[in-house]
Amino acid sequence: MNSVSFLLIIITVALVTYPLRLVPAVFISKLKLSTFFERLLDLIPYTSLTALVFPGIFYCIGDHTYIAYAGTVAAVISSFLRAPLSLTVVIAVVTVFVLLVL
Amino acid sequence: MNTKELLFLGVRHAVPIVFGYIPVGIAYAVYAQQTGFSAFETILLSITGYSGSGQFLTVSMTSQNAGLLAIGIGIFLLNFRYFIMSTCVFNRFKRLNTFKKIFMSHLVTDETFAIFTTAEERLVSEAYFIGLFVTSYLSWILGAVLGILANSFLPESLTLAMGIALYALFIAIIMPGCKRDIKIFILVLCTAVMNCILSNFLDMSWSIVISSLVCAFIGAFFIKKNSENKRKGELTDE
Repeated sequence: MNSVSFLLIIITVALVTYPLRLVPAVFISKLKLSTFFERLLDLIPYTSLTALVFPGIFYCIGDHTYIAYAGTVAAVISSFLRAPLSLTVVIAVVTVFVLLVL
Repeated sequence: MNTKELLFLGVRHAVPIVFGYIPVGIAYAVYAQQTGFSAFETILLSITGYSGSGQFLTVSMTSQNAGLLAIGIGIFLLNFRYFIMSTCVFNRFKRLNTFKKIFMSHLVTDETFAIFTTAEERLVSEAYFIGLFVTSYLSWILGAVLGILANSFLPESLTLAMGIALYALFIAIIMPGCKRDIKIFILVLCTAVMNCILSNFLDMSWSIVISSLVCAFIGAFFIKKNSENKRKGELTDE
């Protein structure tokens, strides 16, 4: 992909993201949403992050699918045991790195 | 408290955010570079897009040759939460003039929102806001810059390994909700399965958009407000 389309993508992202932050700040003092809509908004972060992770995480280390599996398991266990966010990230990266070097 | 103290306190409250943003910013930049973004474009996206998961989605969709429309819709869905967060932040900070809101609203993120909306009332001031939000923003950009530097001198196996960093972060973000509420866990599981299947037939980017929207829509019929996390709970207290 050439540089022009990368810039177009960056502009698109900005044009979508900035108004989402700006509009309520400037125009809406008190927002009243329906219960269903509020629930939907609560769940979208979970579903969109999940869809981002699976199955993408399995292919994030190129052809080393099994190493990616190991990294996934490491991240799941670490976060399950309530490690701080950044520690989970470090544990996953170190797991993958060690397996790559071995 | 005087302005200087409030500013300093804002900066101090940004420290945990900075510790989170710099490593993730580095991982993002390494990933963006590997996908073909130039150094300039990588930093520009951090400045104008300013959203960890949003930038990650942008880069991963770009690497799969997604169209602008799919990226736009995906980003809209993923970042729609900022609409709510921004409402809460500025609902708490009504006295700020419109001109300042135009600039400051750009700095609302999950983390700055969480800290600002739970801060003591006496701290809510322009100085505190600037200390907290601007420090976080600068650390995010600094992370991207360090990531670009790291990409050129770190061993290849390490930059390759860093590809898993943001995925791991998202797992860590999802996990507490799954542990708290089995319904959320089931929802997450269903979304993962649906997306794994759907991505075999559809472009990955559309598959992500469709699975996350369909699953959240179905989930909204079953999962009630009591399953909200603590931060959202405080949000309704506003």
